[in-house]
Amino acid sequence: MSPSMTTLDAAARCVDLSKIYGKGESEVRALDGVTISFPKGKFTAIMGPSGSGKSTLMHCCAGLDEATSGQVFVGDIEITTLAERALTQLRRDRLGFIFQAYNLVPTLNAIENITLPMMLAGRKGDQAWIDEVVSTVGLANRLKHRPSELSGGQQQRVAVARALASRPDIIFADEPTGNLDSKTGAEILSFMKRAATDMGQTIVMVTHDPIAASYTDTVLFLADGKLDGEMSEPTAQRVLDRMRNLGH
Amino acid sequence: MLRLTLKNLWAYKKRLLTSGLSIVIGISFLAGSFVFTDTLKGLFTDLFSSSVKGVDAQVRQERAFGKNTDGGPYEKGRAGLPAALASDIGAVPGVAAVAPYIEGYAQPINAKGKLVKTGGAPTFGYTWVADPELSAYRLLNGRAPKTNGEVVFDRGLMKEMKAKVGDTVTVNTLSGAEKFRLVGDATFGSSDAALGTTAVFFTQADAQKYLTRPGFVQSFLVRADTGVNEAALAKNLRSALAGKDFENKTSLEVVTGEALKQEQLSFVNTIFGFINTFFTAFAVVALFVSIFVISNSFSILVTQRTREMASMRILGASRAQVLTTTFLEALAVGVLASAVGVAAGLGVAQLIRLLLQTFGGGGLPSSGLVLKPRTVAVGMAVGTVVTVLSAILPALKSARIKPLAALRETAIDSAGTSKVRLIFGGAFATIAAVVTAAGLADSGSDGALKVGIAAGIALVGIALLGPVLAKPVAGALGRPWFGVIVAIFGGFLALFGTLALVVLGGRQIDDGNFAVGRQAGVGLVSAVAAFGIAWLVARRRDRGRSALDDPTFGGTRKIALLAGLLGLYNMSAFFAGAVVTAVCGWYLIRTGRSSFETSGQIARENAIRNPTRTSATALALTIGTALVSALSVLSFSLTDTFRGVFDETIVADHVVASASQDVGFPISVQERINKIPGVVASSTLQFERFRFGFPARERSIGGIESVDFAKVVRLGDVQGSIAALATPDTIAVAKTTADDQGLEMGDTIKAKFGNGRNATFTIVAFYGNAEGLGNTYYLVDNAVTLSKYIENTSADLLYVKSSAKTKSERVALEAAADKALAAYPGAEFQTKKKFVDGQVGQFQQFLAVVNALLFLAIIIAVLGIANTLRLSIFERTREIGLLRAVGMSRDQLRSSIRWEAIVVATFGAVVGVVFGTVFGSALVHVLGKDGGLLRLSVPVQVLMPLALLASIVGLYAARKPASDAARLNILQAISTE
Repeated sequence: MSPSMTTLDAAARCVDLSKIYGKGESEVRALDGVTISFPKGKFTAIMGPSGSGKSTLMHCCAGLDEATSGQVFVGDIEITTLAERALTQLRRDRLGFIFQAYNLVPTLNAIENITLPMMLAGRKGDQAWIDEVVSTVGLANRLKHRPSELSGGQQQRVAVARALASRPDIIFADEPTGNLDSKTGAEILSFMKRAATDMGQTIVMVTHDPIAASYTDTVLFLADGKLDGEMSEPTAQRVLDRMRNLGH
Repeated sequence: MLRLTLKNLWAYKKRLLTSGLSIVIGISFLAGSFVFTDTLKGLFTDLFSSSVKGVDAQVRQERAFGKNTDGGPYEKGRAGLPAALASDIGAVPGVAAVAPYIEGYAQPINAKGKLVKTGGAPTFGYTWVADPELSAYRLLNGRAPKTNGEVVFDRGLMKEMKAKVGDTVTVNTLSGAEKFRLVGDATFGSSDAALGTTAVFFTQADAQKYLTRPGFVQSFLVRADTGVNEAALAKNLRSALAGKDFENKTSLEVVTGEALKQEQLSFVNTIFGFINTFFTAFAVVALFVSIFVISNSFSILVTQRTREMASMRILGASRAQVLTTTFLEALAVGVLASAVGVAAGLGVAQLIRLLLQTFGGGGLPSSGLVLKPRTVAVGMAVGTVVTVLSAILPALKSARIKPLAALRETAIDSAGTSKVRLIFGGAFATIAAVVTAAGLADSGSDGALKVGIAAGIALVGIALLGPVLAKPVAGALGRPWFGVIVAIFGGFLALFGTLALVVLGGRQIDDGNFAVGRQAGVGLVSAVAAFGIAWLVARRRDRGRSALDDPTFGGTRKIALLAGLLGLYNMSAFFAGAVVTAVCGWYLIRTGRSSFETSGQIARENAIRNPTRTSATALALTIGTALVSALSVLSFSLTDTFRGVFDETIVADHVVASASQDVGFPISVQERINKIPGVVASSTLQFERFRFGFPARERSIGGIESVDFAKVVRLGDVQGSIAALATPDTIAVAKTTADDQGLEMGDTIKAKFGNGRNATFTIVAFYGNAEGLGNTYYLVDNAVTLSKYIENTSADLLYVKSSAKTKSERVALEAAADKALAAYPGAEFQTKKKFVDGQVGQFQQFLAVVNALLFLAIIIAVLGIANTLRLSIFERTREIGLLRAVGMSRDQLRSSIRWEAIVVATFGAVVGVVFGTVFGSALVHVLGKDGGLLRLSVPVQVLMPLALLASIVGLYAARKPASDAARLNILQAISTE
């Protein structure tokens, strides 16, 4: 298999990625030579205990943080060499984000929040696709509401819709259900799973919740800044067992 | 609790610095206006008391009144005493020295043949006083004038004229221009000149000849022998002179040196009554604006700290404890910042002085600034009280919220507008409307007072209703239509700046003015280089840091900007101005364009998300713009009205006017003008004062040539006949005045002139249009009546009617007139249009000075907007992080913040312009009722740009907050709590 084939198969990948905070005695290696690729059209979870470097990994892959060494590719673009302006454009046009909370701009209503990245790019976006996304997440009758008029679950659904609406190469989700009750959380996770299987959307999710991880296709385990194995077709129980033995 | 307070202060040092800054700014303007007034007053007091310091008594003619009766030190109103009296006075026991004193008008003419200008200060001619105790002037070079035809200048004049001892100089006096030999120069104490005035010293005989009349002096300055007190000296003088016989003896007056000093001081107080009022008004404006700015930034701080207070409550702190912390904190900040503000006030006073010097042209000597305890006390008290109140009121409100609720509440609020506000605001607005209506029904000063009070009440109403207005108005302004206007305005500025740079710069180089071009080039290159290098250094230094929590972030950039500006300054103010204008225009275009985009929409929403804050921020700008607008309406209405009145009144096509405001020109000018071919009629108008009427007070009377007057001036409705004034001791009275005084045709009136002479006049005519004659309500004939009572009269105006029709005839006429008047630099031959322009121009001049001061108030407002914006952005950190994460570029973010600032600033300006225009118009209406002729003129050409100027204000205010926000570290911003 030629290297270009691997590139085509991965929506994003990182090679020998390291992130070091501090110097000398107080040096902390948040990431220590991580090489991972996120396959296209798959829902991948990154798991690990607190301080394992899972958030740092996601931030570096999404161009929100600068790695100390190593490379990150989104599609076939190496983002570690990109300037700030190009990075912003990349985030706007090719990446989607779902954060744990405060995902929405409070002064914009639901539909404006959903189309925000496209509006920032000065594009209309694919109306048919947006309609489909909106109806999938079940927000059709809430589009004119401001975030303050929506429940926490509805707000997160808007965030998911925003991430999907611009059909990014890859969506990064950082504990998207961390602030939600389990029922609402399950709803959001089902949407995300459906987005991956039905719509072919690549999603990478950072979580420490085994139940959340059970919705994904693959779980990557991280410990002390290093990749510590992966698991396909995970169940909550298996993930939980694996987590207990992490780093041992 | 104290330790917590101190810790808090330290922890929030950056935030406190920003809000402390607003206190410093507000208080510095308040203190600055006090310091400036005190300093100026000190200067004048020094000047006037030092000029009479060694005088123990003055022998003079009692002044009834006359020209300049309100002017204490001016001696022109006195008819004078015989000079020969000097020897009699010298023989009086107790007299050590006596100096005859003459003071009058004398104005040198420079090499270009123009009168030396002083910017409003009087130009004096004196007789030289040799005794050093009796005069503050000291000879520096050369010698005193000995033989007639010799003069001494003050040092200021020497410098201004670039003259040296031995030169032949030309000096204009009431009898025309004469040549003199300059034999020396003198200083006033240790300064070059006496506070902007000019002084020319003559021999006694010359002074009498050119300034008063031969044989007479205005007064005698007397120095006592040692051991003789002033009262005794005055008594001796009085009794000795009672035995002599001389002209004007009946009105002889002897005053002690102390009394003379008091006269001088009370005169200083009189002129400062006005200046004080003016600056106090300015200080009040500064105070109001700073209250807005201070309270606004503190209320934002407290909102931010609501959560923190809540966590402390949960940890067990009582409500009182929490409030005490806030109180102590505010107290500390208030006291400290006020102290800094008072100190900074000294700088502001210096700035005002510089501004006045640059634009007012007055020669204010530099001297130490006067910082009175009152200034410190008021500054400290206002700053501290306002700060504590601004901090404690919102804190009280937030302390009422249950701790848990406060914790849960997010920093993002969309404070609605409360009902209470609406009710009270509505009530104030209604009261203001009622009072305005009452004022409009009234007239004159009563009505004006009511309108003024109504404006004050309405301002409170607007402050309360501001938030209600903010949403619709700022919301509307945030839309693309306004973006288009701003962009067009920006385009105009950019084009104008570039054209000015290219065309005018090019022309200068074309004209062979390479030095300017080279200077511009060097300036530009050095500016760009300095800026570039510092920028690169800053980039390296700031890498990996964040503006979020590092107060030194961007420090190098500030230095870069300064260095760049310094380079621009090198280019000369003009080119720097052109560059700044062009850049400013370019930014406005870009920002205006963003109103079409999402970043603009977000900006618009941000501008109205907290209407209370928006309106409080914008209102700081409202006050300044409202005053500018109201004064513009007033001055343009005055200008328009008077232009109309003058146009209607003056039939003459040319007017000879005096070049110096407080002296006329010799009557002989008329003879010369009348000899010019084509002149068909002319009449002088000379202004004198006389005392008459009920109540008996000084009034202005005009002397005319009654035969020709009707040919040059249209007096409106005339009853009786102006020509009848050819009979001696007849008078014409303005109809309105006659009605006021209850005068009938044929009545006689008894009057008294300034020199003490009594007159009885018979009324032979009534006339209208007195305003067109500069508010002259009484007219008599010059030759047959006025000259009987006043000697040595000079003309103030000469109306000239000619038969010139074609352009070449007019040119020939003007050339002939200029030639005829060559020997009279004090008289200017003007076309009617130029004369009218000059007459109405004073209203515009007045406006320019007032506007310069009000712009200082606008500067405070700019800083206020910048401050609020910074704090708002601080609050919105997480939101900004999110926007950046999902793809908003730094440019878009900056544009967004700029647009928000422009919308807020324009909201403030629009409210101000509307407010000012409404009340300015009401004032014009009320004031016009009295004379029934004030014409309302709303200067759209001034008011529109004023509103647009706010967009530049916003642009500038957003500069720092926008660049801070753009540099936020995304990850840190998102994870901010």
